[in-house]
Amino acid sequence: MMKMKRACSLILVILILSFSLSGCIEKEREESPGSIIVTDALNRTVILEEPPKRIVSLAPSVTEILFAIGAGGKVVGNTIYCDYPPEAKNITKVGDIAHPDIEKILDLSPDLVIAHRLNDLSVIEKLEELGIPVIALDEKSLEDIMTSIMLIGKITGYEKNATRIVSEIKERIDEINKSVKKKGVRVMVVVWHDPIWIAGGETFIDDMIKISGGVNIFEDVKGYQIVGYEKIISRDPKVIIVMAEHETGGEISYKAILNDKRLSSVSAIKNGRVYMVNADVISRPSPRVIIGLEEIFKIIQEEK
Amino acid sequence: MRKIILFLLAILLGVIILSLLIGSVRIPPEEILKVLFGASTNDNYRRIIVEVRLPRILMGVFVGASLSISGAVVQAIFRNPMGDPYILGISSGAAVGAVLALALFPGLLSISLFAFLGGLLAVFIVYEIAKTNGRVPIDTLLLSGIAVGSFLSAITSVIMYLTGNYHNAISWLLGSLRNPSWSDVTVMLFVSLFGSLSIYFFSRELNAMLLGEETAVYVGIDPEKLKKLIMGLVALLTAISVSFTGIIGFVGLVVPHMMRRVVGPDHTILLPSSLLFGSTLMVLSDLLARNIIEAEIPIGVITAMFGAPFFIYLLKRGRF
Repeated sequence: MMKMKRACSLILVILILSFSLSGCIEKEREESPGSIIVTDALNRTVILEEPPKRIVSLAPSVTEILFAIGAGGKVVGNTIYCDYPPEAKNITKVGDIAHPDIEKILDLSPDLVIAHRLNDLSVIEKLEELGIPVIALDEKSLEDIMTSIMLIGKITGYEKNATRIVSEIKERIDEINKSVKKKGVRVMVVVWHDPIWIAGGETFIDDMIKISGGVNIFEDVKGYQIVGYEKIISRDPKVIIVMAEHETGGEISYKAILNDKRLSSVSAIKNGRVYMVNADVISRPSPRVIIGLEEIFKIIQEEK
Repeated sequence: MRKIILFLLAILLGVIILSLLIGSVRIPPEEILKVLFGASTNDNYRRIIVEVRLPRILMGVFVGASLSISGAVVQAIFRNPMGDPYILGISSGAAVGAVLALALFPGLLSISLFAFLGGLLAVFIVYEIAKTNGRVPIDTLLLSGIAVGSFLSAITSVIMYLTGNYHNAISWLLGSLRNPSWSDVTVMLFVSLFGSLSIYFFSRELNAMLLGEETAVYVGIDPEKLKKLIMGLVALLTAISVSFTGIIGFVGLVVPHMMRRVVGPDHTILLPSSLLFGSTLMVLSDLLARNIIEAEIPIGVITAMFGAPFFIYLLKRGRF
């Protein structure tokens, strides 16, 4: 019995050591004067010797950013959800967002993979292990989206275009800031109706509401969450914005909210202030958010 | 009986070869041979075979082996057909660890480590609750496993709800062989080898336990010590498996039953055949999980979807 105990503890020690060792091994790379150095959303530093020629994008927003800054021609692979701009549809697909297919990615011989926090961590870590440069993005605010655009611009060598796009977004945000008349309008943004999922605080949708003169009634709820009817009724939104998937003909959630008898006493419904917005322009952290922001601004400021 | 072992070994090898051949990227068989013999000039093929397919297949072999042999001994010491390696609360404890790690410091390493520690902690709690006057009655152990398991599952849900990170958490909970690195595979190899050999070493004692704890005492076995030891080994095997792959259900429950129907209850033969068939089933399930549809299906879904009907078929046929 004693022997067994000793063997057990030995194995444990080996396990813990191998766990911690595998975390410590880091490949060091030489830094040459022309190399590009960036830090991504996971706080990892990535160094490229030269601008990438074969990029794989693992999220629709990443694909949109790449095309917007003019690097679309270098994208050799993307996900089945990458549908904008239309050219993105014809690029080789490497799977969905949650589980991109590592074999397909490797088969494309990329010299840069741009990943997202929505991707399976094991894919990101495997690519890293194989020495393929990976940067990962994660956006919780409009500011983060601009950071992502600049990051992609820098690492792909299209920094000028990225700067131009970001300053245009900033200008258009300033425009909106100047023309806000009504303030403190109570807004709820619905992602899905059954159960009711809303966009809470710490999301870039929350930022859009604030800039447009609104107050997110669920600012205290972090991220995208399910909320109950009692809370919606007691917080009484003046404006309800419902996301619509354009692909699936997306009026389902909009109609369901409009016809929900449990919500009939809510101001937004009584006053006919329930709106539909294309999900892609308010849920994808891409340059198109400015279009989404302008739509939300018009909706919130509408006289009714 | 040797024949059965050889037969199962042959099937396992066949499934491994099939898994090497089939993947989302089509690679000609002769290229695969070239890669395996180090003669390939195609770097992409080499990476796909050596760094992606092979470690994943081997992870499947070792995890399948660990869960199945654990299931077989749990059923023996509990003398309960519902026994499976997750019954001691390991999976629920590991789940709490994993979602906690996802919330605090996301990264495969921290998830694995937290899941492993969570699993072991859960077994320890279950064991301590069940202990009465220095003995651990089987019924109390089972019930304490269920109670602690339910409580921990609730904690997992609360953490998921509070952090809003459903996406990564659910994909972990449903289980997947993921894309293990060679160092993960090496750790898994040593643990499953050590655990399985140690368990096999107690085959005869386990046979005696089948006749009841009292009878076991008469033939010179200390049931309490044996239970403790076996549970320690099961905890190690299961916790480490779960930490790498998430919760892959059904294999540990069904494989030993299937094998018992084929080779009978003698542990000297039941344990190795469960181990081999468990590996085969796991590798085969992952092959399906990777290739049935364009995206990847969680492997736990496959093991249950194909394992359960086959199990029912064996039950109805009532063959021994």
